[in-house]
Amino acid sequence: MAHDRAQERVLALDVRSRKVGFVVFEGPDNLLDWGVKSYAPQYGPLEVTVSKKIGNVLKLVLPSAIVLRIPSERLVRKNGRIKVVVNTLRKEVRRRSVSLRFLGRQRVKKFFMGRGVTTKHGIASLLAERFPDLAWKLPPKRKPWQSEAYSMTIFDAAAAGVAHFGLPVANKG
Amino acid sequence: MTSQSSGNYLRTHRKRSGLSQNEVARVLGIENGGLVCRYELGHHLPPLLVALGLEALFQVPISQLFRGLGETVARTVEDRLLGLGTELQSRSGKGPQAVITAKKLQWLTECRNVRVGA
Repeated sequence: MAHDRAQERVLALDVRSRKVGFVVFEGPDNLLDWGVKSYAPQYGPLEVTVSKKIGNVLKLVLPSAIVLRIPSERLVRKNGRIKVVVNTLRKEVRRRSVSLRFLGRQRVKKFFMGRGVTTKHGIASLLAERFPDLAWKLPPKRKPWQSEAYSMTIFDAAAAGVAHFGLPVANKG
Repeated sequence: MTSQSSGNYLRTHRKRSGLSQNEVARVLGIENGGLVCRYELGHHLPPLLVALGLEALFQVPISQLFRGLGETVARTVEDRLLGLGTELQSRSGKGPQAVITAKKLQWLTECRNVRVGA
């Protein structure tokens, strides 16, 4: 990549079927913004809601690259809602001439395995240590009978962003 | 005009603090969080008293909170100073007027040296 990665503004997204977690990086160590945008059915047609909500974030931060953490290629093909979200995102990205990079769950996990953490909560704790701004959003460790905390998607997005800066750009896809 | 894209870091500092827009508005003594939202998005510029309030609240200089705007203003002032310097140098005068012009030119040169040093 021609421009300086240390100051690259990256929007990392963690796409789920009803919400998307986002984290905006300015370089690998500086967070600008973070949060969750919901596009649950009650908000209206999926494509319109996604376009509007993600469009607002894109307009606000004008990233030079977007990193998309996806559960798996198979799920993107099979899950109707995720497929619509990813396609809408692709359209938005094309409209704004931003580079888009997909990072699968396994690649992100493998990246953090090299740093000695294997579990989702372990990765989130590591990120909370590295980015104190996120620390107060860190949910307690989930018990097997509990559902995942709403804010966990922010940490998944942050993990994708950190992996993006850590992994060579040649693996872009 | 967008916020972080144009170098407005108000939202970033507010989120770091964990305060909501309404809470920031309450602390600054302004109507409601909607105004804070407009400042964050760059749709409105805060008045001087509110800007100073933001600086005191987040402990960050205004020039850092509105970095993009600060840089633009600094560049514009720099350009105008250059123009003023050229204009002053072209003036020819005698007596007290020439002394005042010389004083202004000296100040401009000192200013430029300070900026180059910084």
